[in-house]
Amino acid sequence: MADGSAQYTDGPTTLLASINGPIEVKPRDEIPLEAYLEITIRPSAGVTSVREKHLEALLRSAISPLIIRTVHPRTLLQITLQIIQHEQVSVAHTLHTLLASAVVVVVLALVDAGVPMKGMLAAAFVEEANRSAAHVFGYAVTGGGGGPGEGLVFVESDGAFDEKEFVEASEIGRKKCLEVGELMKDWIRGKVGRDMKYRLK
Amino acid sequence: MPRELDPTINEKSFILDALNQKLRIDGRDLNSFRELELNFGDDYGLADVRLGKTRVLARVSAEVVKPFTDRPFEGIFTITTELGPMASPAFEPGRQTEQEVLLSRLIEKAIRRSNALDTESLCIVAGQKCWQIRADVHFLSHDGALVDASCIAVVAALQHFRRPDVSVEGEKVTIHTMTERVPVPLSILHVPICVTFSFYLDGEVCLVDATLQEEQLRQGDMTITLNKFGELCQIAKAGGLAINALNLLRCAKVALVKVGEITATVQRRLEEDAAVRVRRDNLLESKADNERA
Amino acid sequence: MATAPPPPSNPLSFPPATFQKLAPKTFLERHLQSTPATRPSGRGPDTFRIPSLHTNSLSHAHGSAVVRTGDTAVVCGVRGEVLSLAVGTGGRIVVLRSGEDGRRENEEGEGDEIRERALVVTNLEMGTGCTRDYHPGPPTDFAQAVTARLHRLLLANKLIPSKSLRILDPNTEEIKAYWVLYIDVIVISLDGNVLDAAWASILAALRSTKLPQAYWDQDTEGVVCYPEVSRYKPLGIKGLAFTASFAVIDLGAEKGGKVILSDPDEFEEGVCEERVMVCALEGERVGWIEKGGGVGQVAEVVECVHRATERFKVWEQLFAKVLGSSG
Repeated sequence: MADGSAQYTDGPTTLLASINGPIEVKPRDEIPLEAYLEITIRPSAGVTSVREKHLEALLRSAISPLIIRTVHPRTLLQITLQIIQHEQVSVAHTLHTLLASAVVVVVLALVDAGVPMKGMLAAAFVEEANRSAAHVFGYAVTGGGGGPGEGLVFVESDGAFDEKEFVEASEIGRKKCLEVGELMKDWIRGKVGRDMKYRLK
Repeated sequence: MPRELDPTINEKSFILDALNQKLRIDGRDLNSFRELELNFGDDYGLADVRLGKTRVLARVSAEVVKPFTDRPFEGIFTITTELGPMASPAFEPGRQTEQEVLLSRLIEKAIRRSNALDTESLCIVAGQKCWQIRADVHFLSHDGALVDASCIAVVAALQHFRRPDVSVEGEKVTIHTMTERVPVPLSILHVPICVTFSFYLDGEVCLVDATLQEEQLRQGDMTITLNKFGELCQIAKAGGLAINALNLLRCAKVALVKVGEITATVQRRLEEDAAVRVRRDNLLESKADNERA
Repeated sequence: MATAPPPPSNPLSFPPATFQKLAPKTFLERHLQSTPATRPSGRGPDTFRIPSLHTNSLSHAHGSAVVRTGDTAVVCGVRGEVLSLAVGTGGRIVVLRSGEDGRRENEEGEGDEIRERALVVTNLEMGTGCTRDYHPGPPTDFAQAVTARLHRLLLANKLIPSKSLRILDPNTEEIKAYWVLYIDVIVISLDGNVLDAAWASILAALRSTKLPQAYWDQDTEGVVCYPEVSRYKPLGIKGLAFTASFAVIDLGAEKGGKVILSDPDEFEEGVCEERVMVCALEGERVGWIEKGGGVGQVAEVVECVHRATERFKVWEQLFAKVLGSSG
């Protein structure tokens, strides 16, 4: 019974995000000119640990620049991400693949909830061919394409690499993000089409 | 924190008037459940239950731990429930409400204390090593009947779950990977199902599977847990309207029918899922009950 | 505060400290627009604070270090404890995942063994009164997130050779037990950029750590340590890695665009939303990049990589001076 939600499956990963907001905020968290952003990540099995807190911090840094928080000051925007299933086989890069999917599903849920945003964020996972490094890139994609709002919002890279390799990977990441962005736009178009059917004769 | 929105006076009188004529606003009979949808994940032990707009997910996992010293021959089975803001913004993360305590105790009594899972079968080496089976219940959407839905989710996930096989060789316990040896299902002794009844109009009207709105308007409720053999596991009635004892018998009869239906649906879905898995993974030749060469 | 612009000659004027509190963002922007661009602390945008390092200041830990950069000071202690694989009262049962036989020939997958067995436990704690916003109670989300980052850095960089954590049976060369390293970081004083200081303190503490020499005694079925301090052995930490954190502020296109501030202090961290963190490795390589909080370009990250490489050399020299070339 949330204000907006989205479920996303990418291979072995299934995530569900829900958004509540703007709603009443606890006095302690109230910000005079902005909405307070609360992000909770719940693991599929077991209790919330330091790992989830880390992921929450990363997710917050990825999506917060896209949300226009000044529209609803002194309120709470509650984001809950439930990990339904996530592959545990290759331990090394689980965080990266999870993060890329988490960004996509949360952005879709934010759109579904009608939260004011500067643009959408698409994220993609890029791995070096020799598995020496893994990157997650988040690019802002806007409706028109090529607007000033587009650009690199989020990077999470891990491994051992040099500057040249990083720049190359970021270019691959940018292309992948644009593809993901197009997919996200298609999903939203489809959803709006279904929701607004009664208006379209 | 925001509270759940109470039904308006108009809604209230409309719903109660309709109930007086034995009508529900979603057109259901008083004694019928919403359509039960049950899906399983790619992993073993993941059950996704939908009852109308209510959605509950149960995830079963296992790990090897040391058994409790006072029960050296038994494994450990725990059920965790946490109502979060995903189900409804009225639930704060990290703070237990009274509703949540009642709910987790009900499920605990229905499944764990009725010995649905044979904990003795989880023992690996007495007093040293045993399996801990953990069921995490996630409430994804709240439109009433959380107890009934989560009970179905947990029992379905328990039946669906497979744990890795282990072998004990002297002092060494080896846990085999899922690909090396066929994983083992849990030993389930019986399948308890909860049916919650809601009472209205001083006990004259009694219905099953109430939606959130119906739950907010009810005067009292009672949960009966049975298995398909008609064995009673628990009756829980925590306060609320006092009902006629004869009513209890009537409810129990209805519950028995409902439990039969639900158990059959769960069973059917489990079989369908198993069939899909066999086709997908080509598991036929490695089935556990096949003869071994 | 010397470079604060003189207040205009209207009746409403504040001392700089009030201006800073009332309009923190404008205060920082004005500073950066002066020539040369100067931060409220008097540093240039690309100037890091000068670090200082002391090791083995704690006598009861196996290794320890104190790191200070500006007003951020952290202390890190490393303690080793024995984890016996044979758990239980009789000390007989060994649990193995299939594929393991209690012996490992290959030296590959060092991080994996440490990760799977959880041989390194990291924790970061905020000392009482370390910052203005300090609240007593359970670790905050911020402290937990930093802890998780430090832990990840430690595992990802594979600095600790798992060989030095194994305790063997001298006859069969079988692994019977492990050393578990408890790494505790306490923030004494917090003035921004706790990650760089905390990470450097962990690395220095690990490099100064010496564990007793231990072996598996078959007769008593337990781990025995040689008591002589002279037989304590260092961990043999491989290589160096240093993090460098940045905050980014956007002054607007006409006023000079984006400014990257190296090693932000508490005030700057409060104002700037956009952050970059780079972990530099030896040989001008990079081990980790983290960026978030604002819309930017790749060039910005590349600039941070350059600065991080320079910063690496500063830390490297300091480590060489304090710990000696042997580490």
